[in-house]
Amino acid sequence: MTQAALRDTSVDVFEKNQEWWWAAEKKRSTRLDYLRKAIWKKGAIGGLYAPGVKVDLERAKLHTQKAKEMEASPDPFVMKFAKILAHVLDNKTIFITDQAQLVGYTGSLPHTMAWDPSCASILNEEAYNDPTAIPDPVDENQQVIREICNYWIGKSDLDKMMPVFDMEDLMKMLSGSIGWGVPLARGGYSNKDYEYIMTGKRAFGDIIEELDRKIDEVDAEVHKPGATAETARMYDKLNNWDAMKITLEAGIRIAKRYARLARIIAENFEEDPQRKEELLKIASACEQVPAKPPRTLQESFQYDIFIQMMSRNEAIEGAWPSRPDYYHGPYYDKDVNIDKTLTKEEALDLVGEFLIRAAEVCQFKPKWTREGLQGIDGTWVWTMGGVKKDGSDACNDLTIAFMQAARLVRVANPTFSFRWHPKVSDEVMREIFECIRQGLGYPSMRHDPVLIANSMHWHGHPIEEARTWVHQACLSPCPTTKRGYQPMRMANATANCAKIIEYVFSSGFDHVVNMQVGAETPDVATLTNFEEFFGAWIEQMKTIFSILVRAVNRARMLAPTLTPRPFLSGISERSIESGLDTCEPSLAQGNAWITAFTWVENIDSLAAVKKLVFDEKKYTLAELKEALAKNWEGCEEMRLDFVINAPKWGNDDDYVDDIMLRCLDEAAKFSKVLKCPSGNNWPILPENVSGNIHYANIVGALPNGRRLGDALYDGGVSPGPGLDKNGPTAVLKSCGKIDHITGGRAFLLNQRLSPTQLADEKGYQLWRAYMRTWADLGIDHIQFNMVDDKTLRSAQKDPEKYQEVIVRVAGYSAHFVDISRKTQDNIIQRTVQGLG
Amino acid sequence: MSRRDEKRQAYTSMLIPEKKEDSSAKRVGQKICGTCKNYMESSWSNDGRGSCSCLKMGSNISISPPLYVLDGKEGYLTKTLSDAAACKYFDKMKMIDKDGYECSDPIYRRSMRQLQQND
Amino acid sequence: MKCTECGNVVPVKDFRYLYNARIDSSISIRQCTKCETWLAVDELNGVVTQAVGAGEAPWGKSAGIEGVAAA
Repeated sequence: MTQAALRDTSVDVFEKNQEWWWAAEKKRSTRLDYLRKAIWKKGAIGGLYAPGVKVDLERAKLHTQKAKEMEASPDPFVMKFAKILAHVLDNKTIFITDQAQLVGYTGSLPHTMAWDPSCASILNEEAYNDPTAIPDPVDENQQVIREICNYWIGKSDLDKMMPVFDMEDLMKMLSGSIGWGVPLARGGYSNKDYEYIMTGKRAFGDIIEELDRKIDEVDAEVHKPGATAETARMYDKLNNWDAMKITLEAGIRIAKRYARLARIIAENFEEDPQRKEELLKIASACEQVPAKPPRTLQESFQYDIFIQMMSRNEAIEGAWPSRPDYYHGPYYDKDVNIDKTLTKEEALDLVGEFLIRAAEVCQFKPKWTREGLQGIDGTWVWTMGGVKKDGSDACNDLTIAFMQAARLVRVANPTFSFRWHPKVSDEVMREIFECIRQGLGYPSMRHDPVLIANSMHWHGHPIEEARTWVHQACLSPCPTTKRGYQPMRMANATANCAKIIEYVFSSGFDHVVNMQVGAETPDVATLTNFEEFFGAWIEQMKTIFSILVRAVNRARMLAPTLTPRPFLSGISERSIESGLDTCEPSLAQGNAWITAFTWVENIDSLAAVKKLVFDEKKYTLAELKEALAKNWEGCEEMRLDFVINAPKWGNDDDYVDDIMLRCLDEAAKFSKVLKCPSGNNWPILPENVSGNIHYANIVGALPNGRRLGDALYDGGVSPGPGLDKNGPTAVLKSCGKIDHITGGRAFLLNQRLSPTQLADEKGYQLWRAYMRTWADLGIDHIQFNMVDDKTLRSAQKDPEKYQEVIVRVAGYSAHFVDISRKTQDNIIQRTVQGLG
Repeated sequence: MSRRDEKRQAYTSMLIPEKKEDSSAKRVGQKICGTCKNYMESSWSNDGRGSCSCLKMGSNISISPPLYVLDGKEGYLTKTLSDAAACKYFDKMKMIDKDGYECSDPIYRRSMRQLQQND
Repeated sequence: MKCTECGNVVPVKDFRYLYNARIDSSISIRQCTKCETWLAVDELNGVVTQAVGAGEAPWGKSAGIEGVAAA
């Protein structure tokens, strides 16, 4: 039975003052309050992990130890790898958090971050060089790290890939100038074939039986008289199936370890009868899943946690694509509404704990990830709502329960993104609004009809499959079907687009990394009209995108042999059926996209050049080039001219909006020239995460008025902070000029609203009216910050008192105190829009 | 050696770390590339890579005598902890920002553990 | 330009540029490389206006209806 919180009159006071975090603390159950406060914050602030959070050496040691033992083994690589993964799961430390009902963690202890040393040697160097995250005793553990680093030199995934990449392209990508990521199948974010694994029809045990049948069948086949090329290919299939089976069996075993631990505690140590019962329930759940399909909501959540844990045992995962209300909803309905084995409050406790379990997940990640995703480990953007395959509304009671639980536990991650469609009920919309109003920064809103059409346009997903979509990361839709799901999105296909316009002025030379990165376009001072200037921009755009996409394509094609994913394959129907690794391009529809960080700087810069240089002839390109080379030093009046007297995106001004459309049009055309190994397109997706801060000291001065060091704009098609002067409708109108189906994959839009203006019923109606305009304009995305300057400035002064204040950064939310000062100031400077 | 080979050699040496002999927490020397004004640390990761904005590709300050190439565009790829004692272009930074709680700043920020006690 | 905290006098460009939270404003944050204080600098006139501590905003309020938001 849930220990409900006593209603405290201070809750009313806190809510009246919009101090939602204090109110939440009072309202949530004692259990949730305990579990919420027990979380170790795993996101980095700037580039460093929070004090006390340490690299987990256990996983690295287990992995390395087994790899050494397996060196002489005759097993093919995929089976060796599977055995290593199994060894880690069989031997890793496990624990059960006090008062928890769900178990499973990536590290060995709650404050540790799992470190996979087999992905990239240059990433291992991060562990070796880290100033704060090496566990005590530091000297001794540095020796351990040294030995692990030394072992993996030349053996890690990236080291194996290097000889088969173009070294020049690779160096440009890894220079830190234009790319954000690493082209590896084990370092990015994997969606899942949820239609296969999460619909209750099967679990690991069923799949193992299927694998056994396939192995027996093909084994018999290959030993019949005769031999062809197909016979030779069957050997690889047998190896792959064997490897899948090894990982699934290991998954069942570790669950049973948790069950045993729970029973040991219950039977020998726990005196509280209620807690004893809970522990036995945990044991029962872990004995059921993942071997067999879940029967209850608790088991369904537990199953999901195990799948995610195992996926993170196999790869570094930077996201958590999920549709939790859709796939767990039937169990909620069964437990709460039909069998009535759970009260709504008890269910809320479970839902809240599920959010907490997800919030604490962490793997040790390199600096570019930490800085680009400040405050979180990765973007757990959970997709809510939307439609079923038949087009009917998919919202259910669990959709509402998630919204309510989110307001109680106030984790920044997972964050929700809601698939809006015209048939969403008012009840659900009110729950959504309440989350936004209480300053969670989520759900973000997605235009479901537009995005379904978008998926069909860009990647040819059939409509029933397109309707299953989840966020693969922050924004990009991806089906969860046999052919439609994307097993690994390599973050490497993420372009720092501000470099496009920067390179026009430097003929492609990057002064921060001292390297020729872009195209050697003509000296900008020699360009005589805007069309020539824009032509140079196009060339730089194509060059940068091509460098990134070439590497990802290459890595994808080699992934099945060089960096296989036996576990992910073992939960994917297409791999079970075919015997091929799930990353095999021929099995997939293809769902690639290029994330376009720092996109709008191009638009505002192009507009400024067009107006002040070519239309008004106030400056020459030579003068501008010189001013930019000096970082605007001694040119403040000129800089302000370029900021204030040139039109800016987001003001419903066709002068600059037309430039946006032209740029997107060129990118869209090129998106169809670029092809992924599955033969599909590479549309762009403007958005940022906190890449605008990560790149602040990497992108030089630009014609939009920024200097080297300034935060870039906050992403997607959001106007520059403070530069949207004509109100919220003008912003929507600018964005509405883009065709959100054909113009690109998706377009992030941040808006900041006033918590005071949107209080009460009147506020809700204002917001609904605003959202109707948004929907009518066919804009695919929008997300909100609703927290005032006073709170944020107070949080800067006294961070300890504002631990649960959340802000929407870009494609994700973070606790305000968990991001760097520059990031904080950037968010505060976003224009507060008044509605109505 | 062709330009392509030269680049490939330089890049490979950067992307595959060297094996470490000893990781005892010795203080690094005062004159290392990381404490020079001309050095730009990689923002991609803390693997200790970077480049020189003064010396160009083809330079080598780890040999005796050092080889200085000042012509050309591409910067000399080097590492934060590389010994710069012999480099005549070494110009000590006045201020090193060790605050890793802000994002990368290739010119000023050095958040590697080995430099935290380096004054 | 003179640092108001330690008295260090060097050209403006030798104060480390940190950032400008408002691109349309001439107030930026720089850092004195001698005492490492964060300083608000009027870039048009090249003078330090104040040291910047936690929670301080030398650029003023956010654009838009922040006055309503804060009410």
